Amino acid sequence: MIKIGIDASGGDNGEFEVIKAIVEYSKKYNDVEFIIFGDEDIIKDEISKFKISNLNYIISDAKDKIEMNDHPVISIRTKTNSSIVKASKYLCEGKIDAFISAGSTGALVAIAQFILKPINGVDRPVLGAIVPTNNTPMLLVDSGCNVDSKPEWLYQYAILANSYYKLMFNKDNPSIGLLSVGTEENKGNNLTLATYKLIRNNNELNFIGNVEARDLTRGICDILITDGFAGNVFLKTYEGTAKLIFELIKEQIMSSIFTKIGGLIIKPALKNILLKYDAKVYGGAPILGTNYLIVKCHGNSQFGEYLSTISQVKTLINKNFIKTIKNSFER
Amino acid sequence: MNADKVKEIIAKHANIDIDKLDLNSDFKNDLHLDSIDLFQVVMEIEEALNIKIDNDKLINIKTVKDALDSVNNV
Repeated sequence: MIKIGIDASGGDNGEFEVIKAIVEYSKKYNDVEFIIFGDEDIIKDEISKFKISNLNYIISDAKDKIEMNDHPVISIRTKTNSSIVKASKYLCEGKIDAFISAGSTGALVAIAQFILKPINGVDRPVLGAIVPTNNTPMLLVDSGCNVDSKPEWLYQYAILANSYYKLMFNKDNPSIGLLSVGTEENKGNNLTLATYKLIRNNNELNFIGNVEARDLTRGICDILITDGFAGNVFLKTYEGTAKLIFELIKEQIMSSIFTKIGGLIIKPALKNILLKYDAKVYGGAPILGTNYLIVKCHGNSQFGEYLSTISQVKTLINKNFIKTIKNSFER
Repeated sequence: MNADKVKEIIAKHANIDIDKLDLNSDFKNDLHLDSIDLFQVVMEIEEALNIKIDNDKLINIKTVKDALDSVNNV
């Protein structure tokens, strides 16, 4: 039976959303044992709110809490009774097959780097975030882990992302683009110019060359490789623009009785767009390049995202994700 | 003895000859090591010397001299 560790106290919405996801999952399946990390008293209290008998779980009491403004490395050195630190030990000892958390990204990445360790051939584990586009889901690597990067790291990200995308989306030859300021080979800064050559020389990667930010929303590549600084700026600009457009549409719809009637007519179409661009259905963002499986959920996750992430993790375990990633660096 | 070990670990991570390591070298600007590299260095020093560097001192390490001082103060 698969054993999934889950952080009950890491997210902004508290333990309830995590427990609800576990309950909902357990109503349909009985193939996972959950190891719930967090404050035992609160978790027990939340579980008691649900009338369910077949919940397969163990609670691992972890009363320390790593806050978002805690220094990532200092916190994993000092808050040893936190869910993140305890779960990392469980992973190393083989007590759980994977860990899901909506807690501090910095602490999770620090755990991956210093406790779980990068796999052979990888310098820096990295978060792979899914960005919905008008075509296929796009895997963005790096979305903000390593703001000062080296060409070798970006090349490693391409190999990691390629393995993950193939496994997760059943696509044999995902296309890889390198974020730059022009599509020509000679466009970019020192980092992208050097990275371009490294990725291009690997025949196993379907490298389509440089891509520009304005084309990404149309889904011109399956995987976008960039450094953590540019990746984070891109991601937040994308999110902010999408939010603004919807706010403007709403504002205009509400401006008169006629536009309100028009709004009612187009409401289903707008809902469809929102559904299409809902990244939550894809689950969380895995930390790629470490020896154990950790998946990061959004800080404000609700039960739906946790539920998607449980399914995502189960798929990755069943498909032997870590072994596949390691093999991709041994070739 | 400890200083030699500390320098050896820093030089290894910075990929430079130990003789070329200056006490005033800045981890970020001179040795091109970022915060993750720095913590890697600290953890390796702790393991090699079987010590625990104080967290308050750890976050203030900017130069090779800072690193040596933090070890000497343990």
